[in-house]
Amino acid sequence: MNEMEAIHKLLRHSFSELNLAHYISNFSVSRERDIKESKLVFHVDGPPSTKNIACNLGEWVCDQLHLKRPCVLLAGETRTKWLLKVSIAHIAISNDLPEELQRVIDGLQKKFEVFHRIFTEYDSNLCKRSDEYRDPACYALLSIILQLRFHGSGNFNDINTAVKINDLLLKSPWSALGKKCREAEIAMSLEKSFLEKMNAS
Amino acid sequence: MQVDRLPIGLLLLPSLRSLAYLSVMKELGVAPQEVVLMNVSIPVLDAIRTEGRQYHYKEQFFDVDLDIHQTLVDWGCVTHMVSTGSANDPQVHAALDQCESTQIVFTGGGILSKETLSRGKTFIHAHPGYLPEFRGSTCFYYSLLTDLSLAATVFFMEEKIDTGQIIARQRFRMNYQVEKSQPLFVDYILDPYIRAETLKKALVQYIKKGLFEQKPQPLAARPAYYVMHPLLRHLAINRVNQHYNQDEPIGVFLDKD
Repeated sequence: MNEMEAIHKLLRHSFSELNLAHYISNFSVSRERDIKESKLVFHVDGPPSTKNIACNLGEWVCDQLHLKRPCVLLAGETRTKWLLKVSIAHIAISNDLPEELQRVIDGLQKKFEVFHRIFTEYDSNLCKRSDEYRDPACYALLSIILQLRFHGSGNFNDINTAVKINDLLLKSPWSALGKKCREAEIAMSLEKSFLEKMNAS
Repeated sequence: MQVDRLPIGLLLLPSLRSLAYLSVMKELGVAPQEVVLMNVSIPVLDAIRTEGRQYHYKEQFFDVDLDIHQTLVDWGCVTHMVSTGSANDPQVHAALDQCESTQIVFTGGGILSKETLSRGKTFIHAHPGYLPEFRGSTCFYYSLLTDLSLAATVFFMEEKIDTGQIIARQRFRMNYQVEKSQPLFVDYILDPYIRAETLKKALVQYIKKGLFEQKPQPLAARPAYYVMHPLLRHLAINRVNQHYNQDEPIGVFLDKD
């Protein structure tokens, strides 16, 4: 099985079976194990727990990533990571995204859901400008922003894509495994908080 | 068996969904004029029948023991057998071309291709969500997670998925405890059940008026829901169980549209 086939297999959930007795607890255990094996470090300051998840998560993420805000989006910007970082800074300031960035995030979300790949550069029509898709930070930043959007809107479509991205971050052949990927650490921390909250409510 | 034959066809992929559709037709005493029957077996049928005996699916939802072939024989339907599970297969195209009916109820078999949709037939589909708000194949899990609601929409299919003129929409409310030993309930009973009940509403309208009344579907304000991760599906079922009240009537009920 080639690399993309393995990724498609990992992320295809159309006919997944349900295990009502054990799935959620098994998921949490295997997530913890995968994170441990990945050697992602969770010494981030004050990870957003269930209790303080109501704080300004955008601010918290910006602090963790040492992101200045406001972040200015230069005309013609093509780097996926930068588009996503600017989006995070926008959410930190106003809890919202301008329409232009909303369109970018929706587009990248759709690309991930359909093709299971995010490239490192896109033009203004979201057509890829690079063939590189193995940068875990791009995926992690998209996961973070979708979780921030879910925090603001409660739209489960966003947390759903974020959980799939996190699966990929931990299990793809070029995953965040063994790499120092601050963005992936934050994406996993946020997921843990949201899942605890959703499971408790 | 005495049934009123409706001048519509049925593209029948054997599945729990098609059992649910045949059950409502049986309940209404109507039968399709013609059937294109895909000759494939129903996945998980034995398991669902076992689960069904324990949890009374036949009495509470629809007849999981129904025999498709026997029912079509009893109804005297003109049946075109095809040995494929794909609605876009040339065998299905040839069978559809032989059908006199121009309106065909679709029961599954993939996303209809342009070629299938351009055979001079209109296809009727029941989608498990309130259109246009809830689009996507697992959207009913999303509506359960969002506000514990359920709905289905019957509409005429177009090339673009989940668009097309709306024939009937129905909302449901649910008070039901999904037990750990019912892993098949949501996908194989609840989903087909709400689709079939909404199809029933459309068929009742057809029986009364001799046609499917339709209204335009408003443009969707947000993107379709993507296929749900199993983790969120489980959370949705937990949510249903958390709101179960044993002092209230138990089941899935029609709600105000």
